[in-house]
Amino acid sequence: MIANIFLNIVVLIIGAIFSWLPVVTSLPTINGFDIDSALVTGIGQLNTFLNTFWPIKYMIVGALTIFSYYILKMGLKFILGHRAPGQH
Amino acid sequence: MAKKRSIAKKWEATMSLKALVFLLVILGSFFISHGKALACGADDCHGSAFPNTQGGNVITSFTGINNTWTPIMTGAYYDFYWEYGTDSTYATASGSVNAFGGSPVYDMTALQARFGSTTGHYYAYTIEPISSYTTGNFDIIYAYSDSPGHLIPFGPSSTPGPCDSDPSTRILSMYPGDGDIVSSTVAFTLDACMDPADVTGSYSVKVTLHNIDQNVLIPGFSQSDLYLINGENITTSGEYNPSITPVLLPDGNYRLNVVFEQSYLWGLLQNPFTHLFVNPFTKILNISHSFIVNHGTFIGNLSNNIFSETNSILGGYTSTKTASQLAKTCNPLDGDFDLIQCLHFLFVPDGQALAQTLTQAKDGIFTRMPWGYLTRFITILSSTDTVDFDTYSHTFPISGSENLTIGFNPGEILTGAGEFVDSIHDPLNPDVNFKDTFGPMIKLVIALGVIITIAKDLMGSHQHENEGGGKNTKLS
Repeated sequence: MIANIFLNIVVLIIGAIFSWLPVVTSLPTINGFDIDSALVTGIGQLNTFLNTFWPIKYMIVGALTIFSYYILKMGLKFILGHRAPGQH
Repeated sequence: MAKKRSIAKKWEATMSLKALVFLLVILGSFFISHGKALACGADDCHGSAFPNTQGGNVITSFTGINNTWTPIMTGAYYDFYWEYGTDSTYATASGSVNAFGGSPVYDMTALQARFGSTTGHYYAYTIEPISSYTTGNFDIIYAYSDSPGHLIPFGPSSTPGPCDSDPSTRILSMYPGDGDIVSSTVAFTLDACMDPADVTGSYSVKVTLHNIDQNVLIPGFSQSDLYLINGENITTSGEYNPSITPVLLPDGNYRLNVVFEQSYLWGLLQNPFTHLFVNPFTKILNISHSFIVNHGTFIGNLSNNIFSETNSILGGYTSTKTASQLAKTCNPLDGDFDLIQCLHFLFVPDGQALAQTLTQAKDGIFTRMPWGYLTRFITILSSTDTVDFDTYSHTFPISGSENLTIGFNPGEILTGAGEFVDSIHDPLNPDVNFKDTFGPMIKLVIALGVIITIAKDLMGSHQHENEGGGKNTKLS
């Protein structure tokens, strides 16, 4: 409980520091194009499609896992440089 | 001798006559009483003569001629007798039906009612205390029967409340509950039990509403503390349901506090020597519920969290939170004292509270500009909400004023295809459809493909050049 209180106080302090910043509730609209609505609609329709054709959902999850692996690897290379595994 | 015989015969005749009269009287009284009972209906045999003031069970489920049930009767002697009545008058015929042979019993645990006949009509039965009543409840039967096994209840009926089985002073429920999100008009409710011993100590109840955000984010809300009930004396024991006027509240975080405390002045006047050393801040109950009206605020949520956790650590007050029970392990005077559990409770972060803090950090910090755009983007991507596909249509002019409209609805096509796939069932097991059968297989193939791809890449990442300048792997 002491740890919880400490964390709460930390979050409270950080929150108070940034409390003057505006809260983002939606993505911006650029040149009349509402990015937020477009993304919400697009992801929603994708979810509808994937709920119906569930094998594709599994395939996309698999592909995303592989992409995540490559992104992680790229991040490691960027941070560790030649010390990253497989680098010389 | 003959004279003696005639005297004996006369005596016999007299006795026979007397016996006949007596029998007729008995039978007559039975029929009379029977007739009276028949006149006792559901409407006219109201149970006001036997008010169920002690909150006992109303037994309405006995059939046949022998019935046994377990009454709640402690602390007093009881007798069980039947009563019959005319339209408005009840007479007692104690002893006709008795518990255990008619002897009053103490702390009854089981009772058998023996009805005189399997045919005919039954009457109203009741159980009442016959000696000094101390504590506890007694069962009462308000019923009449117009045929064997058909019991019709009448009169006041009540079922035992939660305070009957456990009369100790405690809160049964409070609204709003801890952590509730409610709409603007809040109908507060409080349901509590008051112990008879506490009532004699002149306890009063105070229900206070605190607005946590009042000095922070809500302009115009000037009330510091709203006393929903302020110092109302509780004069009767049992269930306590005060009437609290609903309050219209602005959005924000609130804390509802209920305190049952003893009047120090009352105690001092009653017994100065005893109450002189009584802590004037003695509270038998002090419970707080935090709730949100429509939308909470970042500061209010965190403030509530800190209050709840601090309150749990202090643990001195009764709280509805389980953490309070755990906090008792830190009190060396408490029977549940456990140093290891106490240290664990104090220093190991609670998972649920931690998740709550992180959620509030996300809401209060990560949503701020400019990183809030990234949070919003991730929120949209991780959403599971579905949106129907748009329908498309086009109108072609055919000739003159006639048009042909052709529509295309991708959603219908998708739904139809999905329903078709779902309609394919295992011929041997109709409860298993195509997805149930092939879903795990497809998942397995894809998972294996992902693992092999990553494993192959990992092994390839260890390749190094050989002396000839070519590349080989560790396996080569």
